[in-house]
Amino acid sequence: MWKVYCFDITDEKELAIKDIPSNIRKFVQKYKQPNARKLSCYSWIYLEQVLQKEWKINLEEKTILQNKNGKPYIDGIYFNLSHSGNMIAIVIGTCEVGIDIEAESNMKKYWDLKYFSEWLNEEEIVELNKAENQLEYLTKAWTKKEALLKKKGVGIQSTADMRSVQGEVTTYLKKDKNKETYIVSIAS
Amino acid sequence: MSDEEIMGKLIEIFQLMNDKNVDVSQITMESNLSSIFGLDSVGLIYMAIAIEKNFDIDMSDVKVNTFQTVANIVNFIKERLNCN
Repeated sequence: MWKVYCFDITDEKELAIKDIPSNIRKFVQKYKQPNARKLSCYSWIYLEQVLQKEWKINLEEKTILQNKNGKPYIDGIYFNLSHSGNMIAIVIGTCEVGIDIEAESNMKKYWDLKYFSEWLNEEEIVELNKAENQLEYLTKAWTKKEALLKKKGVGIQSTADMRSVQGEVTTYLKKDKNKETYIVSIAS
Repeated sequence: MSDEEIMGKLIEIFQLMNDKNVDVSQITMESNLSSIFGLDSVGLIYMAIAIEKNFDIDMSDVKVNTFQTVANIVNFIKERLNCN
């Protein structure tokens, strides 16, 4: 069983490190760029709120464990976080889960550059060329692959990983307050 | 290929990827990639593909999230070029 939660943080203010709960500070500090750090902070803050409200789990009372790849979890509950643009996506489940969210505009920025689609395998390039909405196909393909790799706990590591990873995911389309389109994929 | 030549080509790649008004001319060997660009996974993979194409080296087996600084990338490229 798993459940997914998405939050728009367009109007949220930046947080100082001292305002971040101490048990999640180490996961946030690795982000050096201000917006990435803000997104990471709110991912953890919303995770804490959702766990408290819907799963009756107080994260502050739990030890956050990490698997051999550094993927965090708590005893008996698995979760995964992702962020892009102004959106945060969280999946919580009773088995290993992986999630990825991407703003279509972020994919478009790179797609406009040469060579970008080379992380797709040959079969997927054929599908991309046939797709009615190529940007949506590309964003779905990316989030699917990243969610599958994040389920394993490794995240994106190499272009070979990207070309080879296969599996089933559940995909949603979301929009933020600025009508920006996002694709969310969940691997379970 | 010298460090300066590798750096010059890398700067061209960073310039293409730069949408955060970063002053690319200020990038040095010590610059931290995530501090400069806040590189997300899409950016990291694009960077790997662009390096493969521009330097004619294979990066398909490389863990792209292990590069912390520009110097890490320059040294990696030098090693791969010397192996070719």
